[in-house]
Amino acid sequence: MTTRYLLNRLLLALPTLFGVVTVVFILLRVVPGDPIAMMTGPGATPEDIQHLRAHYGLDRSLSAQFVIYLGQLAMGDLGTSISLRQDVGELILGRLPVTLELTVFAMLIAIGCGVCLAIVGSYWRSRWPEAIIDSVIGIIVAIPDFLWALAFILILGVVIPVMPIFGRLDLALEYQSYTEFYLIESALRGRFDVTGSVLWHMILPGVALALPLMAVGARVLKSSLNVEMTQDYAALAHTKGFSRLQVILKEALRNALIPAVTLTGVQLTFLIGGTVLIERIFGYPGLGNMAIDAVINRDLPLIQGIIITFAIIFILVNFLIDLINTILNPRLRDG
Amino acid sequence: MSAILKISQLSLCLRYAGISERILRGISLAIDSGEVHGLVGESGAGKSILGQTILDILPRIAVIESGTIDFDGQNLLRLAPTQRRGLLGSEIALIPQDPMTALNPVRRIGQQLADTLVLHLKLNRKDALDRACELLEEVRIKHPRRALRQYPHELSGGMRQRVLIAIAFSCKPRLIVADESTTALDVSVQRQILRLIRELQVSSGTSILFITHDLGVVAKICDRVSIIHSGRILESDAVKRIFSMPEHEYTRALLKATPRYDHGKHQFRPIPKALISTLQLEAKEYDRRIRDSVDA
Repeated sequence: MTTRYLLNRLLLALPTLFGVVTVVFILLRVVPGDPIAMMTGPGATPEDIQHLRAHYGLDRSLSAQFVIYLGQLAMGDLGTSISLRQDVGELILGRLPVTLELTVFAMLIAIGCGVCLAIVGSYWRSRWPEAIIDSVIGIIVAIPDFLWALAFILILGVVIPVMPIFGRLDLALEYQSYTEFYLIESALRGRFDVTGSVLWHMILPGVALALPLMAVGARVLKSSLNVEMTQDYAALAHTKGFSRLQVILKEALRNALIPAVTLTGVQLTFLIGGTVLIERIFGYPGLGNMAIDAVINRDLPLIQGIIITFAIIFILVNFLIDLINTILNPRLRDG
Repeated sequence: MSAILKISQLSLCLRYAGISERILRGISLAIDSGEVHGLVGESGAGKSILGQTILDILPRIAVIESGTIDFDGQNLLRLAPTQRRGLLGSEIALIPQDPMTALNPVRRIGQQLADTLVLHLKLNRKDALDRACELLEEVRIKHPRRALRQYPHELSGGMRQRVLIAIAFSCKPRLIVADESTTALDVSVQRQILRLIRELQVSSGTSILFITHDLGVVAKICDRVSIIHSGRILESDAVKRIFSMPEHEYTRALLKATPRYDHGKHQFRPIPKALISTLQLEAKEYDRRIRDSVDA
C-alpha cells in the first residue's frame, strides 16, 4: 500500500512538470528581450539576423516552436545554449553537482543546528535559554539569506579577512575532477587538501543559505515539542522514571518532527531557490550563477533547462518529505 | 499492617497570572501495603492533582505549600530529582485515564513496555522484549508476540488499557496510582479491566490508590475509600462501612446520587445545592484560617 502511494505521488509529478514546462515556455516568449539581438553586434545586417533566427528555430510560430521543444524534451534533449553554443543538458550536468553539494551542505547545517536549538529551547522551557533562543531565531528569520551573505563578506571577508569569499576552490590548487562533485570525489581519492579547501569555501555561502531554514525549522520544531511535552504519553514517560531530556529525545521528538518536517519542507525549496543569489554573490560556479547569466543573455533554451532542473529538484524534495513523514508516522502507513 | 504511603497536611495551590487558587487543603491520607484505596470525588475536587503530586507530574503552575508525602518512610517531596526518578516506574507507577492518548503513537508497544525494564531492571533489549511478551500474556493479550511489534493505533481501547496496566506492573511497584483508569472504557470492558487489576494487585501485593468519581467502581475493587471535596478529605473508612453507614452528610448525598438497579426502593436524587455551598464555605473558611495564621 505504501509503495503504491509513493508511486502514485511520483506519477502525479508528471503533470506538474508538464505545467512548469508550458508556463516557462510561454512566459519567456511573452517577456521583452530578444536573444538574437543580445548576441549580435550593432553591425549585423538584417539578413544575418534572419539567418540566425532560422538557425535557432525562432522564425517559426510559437505553437510550432513549442511542439518541437516538447518533442526534443521527450527525447531528453534540452537544446543548445544560444549564448554559450553548447548543449544545455551538458552545461546543466556540469553545474548541478556544484549546487547540489552546496545545498546539501546548507541543509545539513540548517537541520543539525535547528534541531539542537529546538531541543535546548524546549528543555529549558520558560527559562532564560528559551528566551534567548526565541529572540535569536526572531532576528535570523527577519533577515533574508542574501543580506547574511553580504554581511559575512563585509565582516569575515573584508574587515577581518579570515574566510574566502569567492569561488569554490583555492586558485593555487590543481585539481582535475571527473564528476564535478569536488567534495565527495576528492575525499574518496584522498586529495584531502582539495576537500578541505572546498569545505572552507562552502562555509560562508552555506551558512548564509542555511540560516533562514534553520530559524524557521527551529521555531516550528520547538513549539511542536512544547505541545508534545504536555501530552499524556509524555506524562506517562515521566512516571516511568525518564528524565526530562529522555522524554524529549525518546518520546516527544519523533512526534514533534512530523509537523516540523512538513512545514520546513516548504522552506527547503526557498533554500534551493536562494542558491541563485548566493552563488552569484560568492562567485560560486553553480547552476544558480549560470541561471543569472542565462537571463541576462536572454538565452531561452538554457533558462528553460535550468528552470526544469529546479522544478525536478523541488518535486523530488517534496516527494522525499512525504517519504520521511511516512517513515516517522506509522499511522500514515496504512490506508 | 504498615502504611506504604502516608500523606499528611498536604496543601497545594495553582498560581497563574498572579492569581492563586488553593486546590488541596490539608490532605491527610494513609494507604496500607496491599490495600486498594479508593479516592472518590466530583470533577474539580482535587483527586487527580493529588495523584499527580505523588507521581511528580504536576503542571508547572502548581505550587506545593505544605505537607509531606512519606513513601516507605522517606518524604517524596524532599528527595533529590534523580532519587525521585529512581522510584518512579520501579516503586511507584501510574495507570493513566485515557488509553487513547497515554501511549506514544509513533513507538511500538514492545518498545514502550521495555522502557521501564531497561531503565530499572537493567535488562538488555532482547531480554526486555522477552519479558514484555510475558507481561502482555499476564494481561491476557492474544498474540503477544505480534502485539509487541504493533503501534497503539492498531489496538482497541481495552487492549491499550491492558498494555498500560502491563507497563504499570512491569517492575512490580509497591504503589500504583490508578487515575480514573476505567472511566474511558465501556461498561463490559470496564468490568474485565477492574477484575484484571484486582487479580494482578492480589498476586503482586501492590497497593493501589484508585482515583474515580464512580462509587460503583469503588464497591467492586477497593478495600478502603476516602471521600474528597474542595480539596479536603471528608471521610475515610472501609468500603463496607462507608456504604452501610456513611458518617458525612456529603457521602450520604453521594450514595443517593449514584443510580443503583439492585435496590427497588432506592431513589436517585442529585446532591443538594445547599450542601455544596456549605462545603465551599468550609473550604473558604479553611483558606481564611491559613491566611490568618500566616499573617499572625
